[in-house]
Formats: sequence, structure tokens, C-alpha cells
Amino acid sequence: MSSKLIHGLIVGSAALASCLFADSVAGDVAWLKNSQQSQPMSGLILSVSTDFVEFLEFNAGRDLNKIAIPKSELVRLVKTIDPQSLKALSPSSPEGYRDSAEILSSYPSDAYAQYLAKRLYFLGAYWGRGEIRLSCFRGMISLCDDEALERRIRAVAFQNDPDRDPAWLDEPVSPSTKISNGISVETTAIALRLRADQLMLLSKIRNRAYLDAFQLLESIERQADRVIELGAKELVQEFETIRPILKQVVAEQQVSPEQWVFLMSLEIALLSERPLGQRWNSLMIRDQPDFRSLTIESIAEFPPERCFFLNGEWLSEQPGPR
Amino acid sequence: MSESSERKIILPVGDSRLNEFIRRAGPIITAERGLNERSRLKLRSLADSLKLPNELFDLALEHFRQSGIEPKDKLTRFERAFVNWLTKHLNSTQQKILSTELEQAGLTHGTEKYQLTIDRARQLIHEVARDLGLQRVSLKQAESYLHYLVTDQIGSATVLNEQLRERLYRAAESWGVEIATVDGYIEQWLTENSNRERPSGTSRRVLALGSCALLIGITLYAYSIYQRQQHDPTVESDQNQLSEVEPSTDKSGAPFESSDLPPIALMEPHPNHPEWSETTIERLHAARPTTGLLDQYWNVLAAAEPDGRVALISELTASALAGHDETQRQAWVELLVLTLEIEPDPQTLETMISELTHRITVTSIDSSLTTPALADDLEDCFRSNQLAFQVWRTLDETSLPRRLLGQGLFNQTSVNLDALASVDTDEMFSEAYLPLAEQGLARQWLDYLTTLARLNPEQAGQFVIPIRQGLSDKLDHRSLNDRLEDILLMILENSPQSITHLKPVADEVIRNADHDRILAWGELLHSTQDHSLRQWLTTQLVLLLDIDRILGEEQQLSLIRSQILARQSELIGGHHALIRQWLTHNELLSKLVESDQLPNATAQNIADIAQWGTQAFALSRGQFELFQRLYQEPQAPLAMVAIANASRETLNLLDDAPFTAHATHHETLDKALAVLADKEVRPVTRAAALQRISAVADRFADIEFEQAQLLMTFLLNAQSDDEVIAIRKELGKLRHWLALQQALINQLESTTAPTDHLLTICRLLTDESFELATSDNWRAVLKIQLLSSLTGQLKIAIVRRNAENELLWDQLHDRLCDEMILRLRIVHSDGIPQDAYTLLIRTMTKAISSELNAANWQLDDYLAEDELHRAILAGRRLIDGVARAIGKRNPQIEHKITKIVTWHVVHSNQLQHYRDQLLLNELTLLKLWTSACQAN
Repeated sequence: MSSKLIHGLIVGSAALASCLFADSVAGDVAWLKNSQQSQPMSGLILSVSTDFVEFLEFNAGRDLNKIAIPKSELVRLVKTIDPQSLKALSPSSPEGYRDSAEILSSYPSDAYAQYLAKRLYFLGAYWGRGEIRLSCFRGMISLCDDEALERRIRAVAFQNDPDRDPAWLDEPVSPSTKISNGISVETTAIALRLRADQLMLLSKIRNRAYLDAFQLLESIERQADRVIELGAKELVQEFETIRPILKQVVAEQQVSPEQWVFLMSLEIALLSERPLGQRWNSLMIRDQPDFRSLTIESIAEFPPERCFFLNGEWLSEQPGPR
Repeated sequence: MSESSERKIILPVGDSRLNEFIRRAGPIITAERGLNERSRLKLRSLADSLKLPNELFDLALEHFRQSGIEPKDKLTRFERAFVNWLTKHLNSTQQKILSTELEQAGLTHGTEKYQLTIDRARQLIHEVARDLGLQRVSLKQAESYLHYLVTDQIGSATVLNEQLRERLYRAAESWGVEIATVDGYIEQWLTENSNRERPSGTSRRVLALGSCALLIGITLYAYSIYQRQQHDPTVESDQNQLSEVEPSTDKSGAPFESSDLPPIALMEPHPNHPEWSETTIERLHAARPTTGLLDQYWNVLAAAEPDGRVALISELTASALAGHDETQRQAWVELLVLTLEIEPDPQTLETMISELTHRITVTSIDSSLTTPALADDLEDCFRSNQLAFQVWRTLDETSLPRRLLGQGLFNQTSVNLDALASVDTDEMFSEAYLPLAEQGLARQWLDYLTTLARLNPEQAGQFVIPIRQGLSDKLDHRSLNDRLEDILLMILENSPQSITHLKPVADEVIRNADHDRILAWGELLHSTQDHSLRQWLTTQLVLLLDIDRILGEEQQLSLIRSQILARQSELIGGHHALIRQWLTHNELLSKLVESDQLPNATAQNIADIAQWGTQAFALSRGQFELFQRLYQEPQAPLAMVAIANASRETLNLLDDAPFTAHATHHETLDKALAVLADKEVRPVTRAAALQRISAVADRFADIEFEQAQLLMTFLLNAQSDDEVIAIRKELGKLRHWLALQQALINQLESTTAPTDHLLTICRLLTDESFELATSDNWRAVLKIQLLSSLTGQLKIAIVRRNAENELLWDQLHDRLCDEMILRLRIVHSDGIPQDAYTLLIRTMTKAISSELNAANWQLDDYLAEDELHRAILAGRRLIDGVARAIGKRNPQIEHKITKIVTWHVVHSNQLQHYRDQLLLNELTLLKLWTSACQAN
């Protein structure tokens, strides 16, 4: 019932909006006078009074910025989402979450719609069973922009698939790869420079030139981040392993014997062009992976139990006094 | 060495103690007639009083021996001749008594043949008789004795058989009494008997039997006294005069002062107790000559009131116990015997026996009892027993006192004298009783100490050493130590601080501890919190269990625990007992199993938990032998393995300098480095500067990197022979400087040093050989080699310095592989993979539970970010399989298993580091397998 309601609501609103904004948004939108932005504000209209519109603006992340817009500043205001209809979604009809999520997820340039879709998929996966759950997982994977999270969603999905379809375990496709589709020339160039810079960094540390080392490390970190961003994480694996130690050494301007062992190991790996390997001494100092169990709860940032929609967000009900 | 060639002793001069000793020793040796046991004792006492060192004492004795130990001969030529004649004469007569007749003959011979005065001749006769061991008896005494002998032996008979007559004649001859005199006594006694009223037939037979018994008793009594007088070597007077058997008027040997008892007046004629029989009276009179103290206490004995006699027994006993002079003691014993035997009142007799034996007992528990008082009680107990036994043996066999005393001794020692006497010969009997009785008493003392250890362990701790000393010759060494060991265990359990003064005895007993007691000591080590006791027990058990003393304390304790447990399992057996003990004997283990807390996730902790997990698994599978082997041979600490894996001698990197550097050493180093940096300085001066640096090198654990750079620049650029020679000689002493090693690596790429010189520097500094790569990038290759060498050395140095470091994870990987291989062997798994931890876990999982499938591993492989992550995920699968298998096999503990698994899941979602996850997995397995053990 509720899914039909919201579906009708969204579809109706979208039909109107599509005429105006080339179907790029699905949420509430507001156009302001003299705005330098080409896009309208995306978010949720909370209330409309005589002079003001209370608006919940959705930022790039998940933050919601509550603002009061004088009506005099508004060019146009379109209300497409009925919070009440979202609140009406129920765990007893998990397909409602999925259906709503599918509609919202069809607006990739609307951040707020994407936000809502992810959560609706998640709730659908949590409350749903069988194909509903699996379709929700697929939806989540399609919207995921984090490689580690996508890997985790895939693993959870595989675990929940009675057929254990190995396709779930395909390698995640990182956003950068999605864009560049392979290791670029730029990536290779950065990686080569990184090797030389790391050797230089180690030499600076050996000569106690910590100021130079600090600046060099910052540069290396930027390059490494870029390489990772370009989807060639394996090219900076050694650096990533030792990175916490390098940062600590440069910050504290001294090297303990234990740290020397790691630094020299990195130096050997760089000089010999052989990876540090999978020895436990090295692995222990790496950034640690996500050890949580493969439960559905572990793939969302909020607990799905007694979850409700309020002020534009999916929140968990705080346990109150009985 | 022959006597002629014996080296002459020359005494050191100038030692006043030695001079004084020599001066005072002469008279002692003379008085004691040579260097014999008695004189040695007196000399020892003198030496002690002068604080003469043992060496000087021994020298002085040797000096006396060489210079002649005999006192100077004070005899004249005639006296010497007389003594020689007399000795021969007395030996030829084969008499054991110096009768008046013999003495008279000697006097006549001495005065007539050797022109001696009567007094001098008598003196010499007495001396010779004493030397020959003859007793001197006056004619009157001899006649009195013969008279007693005649009446006693004939008794009430009216006819004398010839054998008895002959025996009496021989006695008379021995005592120097005329045969006619003896005949007179015999005839007179027979006549008197005939005149007496003739008894009835039955009475006569009884009387005859009694007479015979009495006769035998008297004969034996007389014989025993006679024998004692003849053979007891201790019956020797210090006086030069021959001791007379006559009643002594010398009261110095009296057992108590006159004030202790009612005044004793020697009255003539001697009064008699109203209940004394004629036989008793005659016996007393006959004993007067031989029982020296009899006349002195006659009135006490004859008094109608018995109190004096009871007091006499008490005092005689006390004196006999206190006195060390055997002659006096013998006199007291004789009087004790006589006093008991003539006592007419049975009740008084019982009191007397009680007086005689009441010390043969263990002291009562008394918190105010001091150690010296206890030692006295202990000594009195055994001496009283010896005295009472001596009295018992001397008493007439059929007498009431003997029976009562035998009963009294039985009450105190639990040794039945009569039973003993009936089966053994006299000699064997005397040898048998004392050891038996003393063993019984010794055990009573040990029982006392045991009780005291329970009630007042501190006081018991004070008494252990005196009691052990007192019992050392009463029980065999083993029995005594065994009992003491038990007592020590009790004392130390409740009063651990007593170890400080109990060490001398505890050290000895624990060294001979048997199987059971080793366990008990182990228990004590486990339970006590007292630092001193723990330290002592650890030291002793390490020795006892043959544990390497070089190991650290923690490892020693671990090995002790394991060996103790292994012994317990042998002793007690039984699955549950073994598990219980296994858990209770390892505090950390039991805490881990019972608690929900997680210990620090160090590599060693994880290794320990994994090891215990394997033990628990072996137990849960009923493989006790394997369990014991695993427990007895625990794995070495990871740090030790890491060090042991070093294939060669390692550098002393990171070690503290053996000597502290002072300002002067810093100055030397700075100045020498300045010389090395100065290019204007002559090579020989630089070589000397390097020598100065190497001379102070062991005062610096490391040097500053700038200093190291400077030094390395010199080393690489050195060209002159002087410098190169100095480098070859001195550089090895600088190997422990990490900064210098780093400086070499730092300058490697830029140095222009000839390659052979560079390789020499590398070899001298690292103690390793290097070869130059032929490729263009030989510097990079050499740098890699140097880095690898230094990294390896540094790792070992770090581990050696700190066992809880961050470089033991590789060792942990190997250890966990070993543990998993062991577990696989327990389940008899085929095809054990090597050195791939994840693969090992999966093989184990497959062996434990068939419910898991490859899809799970596929999933883990997909999810794992690296090999360690993969191993942790595999560990979770294993936990799942183990939990299912245990739950299926032991449905009664399903709830417990579920609880453990839930606990694991909760923690696995919270913990965010590899080390914590590794620890969690191993701890969960340990909990599961322990539960399985307890459920079986």
C-alpha cells in the first residue's frame, strides 16, 4: 500500500519535474534568485510559511543543512517527496523499500535521491527475504562508490544467496576504473616517481634531515593517494604498509631500532624491486581490515532495527523508558 | 713413610697461644699416662679454651707424638724392677681381684727384695693393680662377701653338694679368703638350717625352687657386677689410688647435697626398715662393700616413711641423667636398682618407677616453650630411656620392680621388653631394645612436631633444627628426612617466612624428595605468595627437576609447573583429575578459560594460548600420552627461538656498553675524530687516532650519526699503509655501533673508495663476506646485502633486548603452524600441508567437520585483504566447525558452547587489529576444547 502511494507520488512529481529539469532530480528542489550555481538546491522541504520556506539542503556527503529561505529569494519551489509516505514504509512489506529505492536510484546526479535509495535498498535487504533481499543487494552494489564496501556487500550477498552464485564475488569495479578502465600512463609514471622518492625519503631519514623528509613524505602521500584513486593500489602496496611508520618517524624525528628494521625492509624491497611479501611482521603494521562478521548490519552505517525517517534522514529509534 | 724418614715437626715460634698450650699440655699428658683418648679430649678442651687454631693443635699433637708422649719416668731403678716383677706376678695368678693375700705378698716382696718402704710398695702395688684392672678387696670385705655368698647360695638347705662347695672354695680363693674360714661359714649355716623348723613338703619344694631362683639371681647379680667391674673400660678412677670397693666416705660423688634430703647420719649398727626381710638385710649388708653410696643413704632406705626413697629415686635419676662420669653413673644405677629391689611397699614402688620413667616422654604443646628448653627435654627423654633400660636390665629378672619398670617402659616406648627378652639372646636383646625404643620415641617427637606445625607453625619452625639434631642418630636418615619434609611442608605452608632459618635443613630434605613430595613442593610453590619461599622453591625445584638454570624465572616456573603436572598425572591418573589439575595448576590458563576478559595480544601470549589449546585438544581426544609429552616439553619462548635461529654469531648491536663513558672518554673520542677529519694530519697520526677510538669503543653503546659519518669517511678514504693496518686491526672493535653501520650504507653509493678496500670495510664492520656483483648496479646490490645483513642483526638484537617486541610475529606464524600440525596429527589427518597456515587451518577444519564446504573458503579468499586476514577468517571457520562437532558429541554442554561462540562473535566484531583477532581465535578454541575435556 505504502509503496504504491509513494510510487504514485514520486512518479507524479517526477513527471512534472522532468518537464522542467530534464529529469535530473527526484527530490524537493529550490531555485534561488541570483544563485551562481547552475543546479538547484536538492533536499527536503520541511515547512512553508508566509514568508519563509524551511529547507533541508543535502550536501555532497550525508550531512543535511537546515536553512530558512525567504520566499522573496525563491524563483521556484518543487515538492516531490512526501516524508509521510517514506515514514509509512514498513518492514512487513520490504518490497516497498526496494521499489522506492529503484525509482530514486534512477537519478544518478541527484545526491539526495542516491542517498535515499541506498538506505531504502539496505532496509529492503534487511527486512526482505529471497529475491527481494538479493535484488536489494544488487541495487546497493550498483550504487556503491567504495571498493571495500562493495566487496563486503558482495560477500554478504554471496553468503545470503542459497545458490551461492559465484558471480557475486566478482572483483569490485572502482569508480576510477569505471572511468579510466585500466592502469593509465599517468599511474605508471607516478609509481616510478614514487619509488625514487621513497628511496630519497629513506636517505633523508638516515641522514636525520627530518624537515626535508617531512616535505617529501607529504608529496609521496599525495602521489600514493592519486595512484590509489586511479585504481592501482597494488603499485603502492609497500608504501601503504610502511606509511604509518614513516609518518611517525618524520613526526617524532627519531627512529627506533624496531622502526629501522621496517624502514630497511622497505628499502630492500624498493631496491630489489621485490614486494615486502606476506610476512606477519609487515602485515601487523598495516592498516587493519574490517574484521566484522559478514552480517547485513555490517554493510550499513546505521542499525536497521526500528529505523524511521525523520527530518530527511533514516534514524534509529533511541530506546526510551518503558 | 717410615718412621726414620718422618719429617721432624718444627713448631712455629712466637705464638703465645701455642706456647701456653705446650706448657699446659705436658701435665695433662702425664696425668693421663700418655697420648690417649682421654688426654686428647682434655687437650682439645684446652686448645678450645685458648682458641688455638686446628692447624696449630694438630701440629702440637704431632710434636708431642714425635718428642715422646710418655710422662717422664718417675720410678727409681728398684721401683721399676719391682713394678715389672709385680706385673708378671699378678698376670701369672690370673686373679681378677687384688686380695689381701696378694697385696701382702707384694708388700713383703717389695720391702725385702727391692728395698722399698711399705707405703711406697703399697702405692706401687695399687698402681699396677689399677693398670691391670684388678679390684682391691680388704680381707674383712672378702670374708663378709663370702659369708653372704654361703648363706645365699645354700639358702635353707641342710646338705651341701660338692659342686656348690667347690664353687664356694673357688670364690674364696679368688677373694683371698682362707678355705677354712669358708668351711666354717658353711658348717655354721648348715647347722642353723638343720635346727630350723622343717617346712611342709609343698612349701619345701616351693622354697627349694625359690632358693634356686634366688641363688641364680644372686649369682647372676654378683656375676654381672663382677663382669662390669672387670670389663667396663670406663670404670676407671682419676685418682692415682686404687678405688676401693669399700663404702666411700667421699661425698663428692653424692648425687645430691645433704641439704636436699633429711640429714643422713651414718649410724652403727645400721637401722633396718621394719618390713625388710632377713634376706634383704643380709643382701644390703653384703652390698655395702660394692655399692658405694649405700651407707650414705642407708637411713633414707630404712626410713618407715617412703617419701625419702621416692625423692631418692628422683634425685638419683636426675643426677644420673646430668652426670657424664660413667663411674659415678654406675654407682647411681646400682643404688637405684637396690632401692627399687628392696622397696617393700608396692604402691611406693609404682611411684618410684614413675619417677624413673616420667621423663621418657614428649614435651607438651606450650607456646612459651623456648628452643633451649625443648632441646633439654629432648635430651632428657632419650637419656632417661637409656637409664631406665640400664636399671631394668640390672634388676632381678623375677622381681616386681623389673616387671613394673618393664611396663612403664612399654607405656612410654611401646616396646615390650619381656616379649623381646623371650626371643632373643641377652646380647641381641640389649642391641635390639634401645634402637627400637628410641625409634618409637623419635617418632613420638616427630608426631609432636607435626601437631605443633599445625597449631603453631612459627614455633614448630623454631624447633625443627634442634629436634632434627636430637633425632639424627635415632632414626635412619631417610625416615627422619621424610618425616621432616612433611613437617616442613606444613610449616612453610602456614608460616612461609620460616624458610629464612629453615634453609639448612630444608635444603637437604628437598634434595632427596621422592615423587609424592616433589608434587607437594610444587603445590606449595603454586600456592604461596611469599617471595622468599617462592625464590627458594624455584631454585630447589629447578635443581631437583634438572631444569636449565640459565633460563629466565618465568620459563623455569613454567617448566616446573609442567613437570609437576606430568608427575601428578602419573600418580593420580584419571581423566577428570588430570584436567582439573591441568587447569588449576596454571593460574593464567584457568583464568583464561573461566574469564571473559582478553589478555594482552602479544605474540608470546598467543603462542602460549595456542599451545594450551593443543594440549586441551589432545586431552579432549583422550590422547593422554601426547598431552603429557606436550606438557612436559613446552615450546620455547618465541624470542628464544628467534635468537636461536640466528645462524651465526651476532653483533652486539643495542647492547649496553660494558663500561660507562666518562667525560674523558668523550673528550678522547671527539679529539680523535677531529684528527681523522683533519686532512693535513699525517696518516700515522690518523692511524693512532683510530686506535684511541677503538680503545674507548666499549664505553659507548653507539655514537652520534654525524660522528659515524665522519669516521666512515675516514675509513673509506684511508689509503696509507699505516691507516689500512690500523683499520684492519681496530675496526672489528667498532662493529656494535649501529650508527657506523648506517653510515656505511649511507656512503656506499657516493664513495670513491677502491672496491677491494670497500669490501674490506664491509667485511670488517659486519663480520660477513661480500662479493661484488659484476653488473653495473653493483652498489645497489651491495647496499641490499648490507641492508639485509644489518636488518637481520638488528632484529636479533631487538629480540635479545626485549622479548615482548613487535618483531616476533613471523615466529608466531611458524609456531601456530607447528601447533596446527600437531592438532592435525591428533585427528590423524592425512596430507598435512607445510608452512601455509591458512591451508593448515582449513585442513583441520575439514578433518573436524564435514559440514563446511569450499564456498566458504571461496568467500574468505574474496574478502581477505592479505594472508593474515585470510588466516583469521579461516580460524573462524575452524571455530564454527569445532563448536558444531563438540555440540553434536556433547549435547549436554550445547548451551555452554553456544555461549562461547557468541562471546567470540561479539569480540570479533569489536576488535580491530590482527593481533587481537589471532588471540581471540586461539582463545576461543582453547575454551571450546577445554569444555569438551570437562564434558567427556
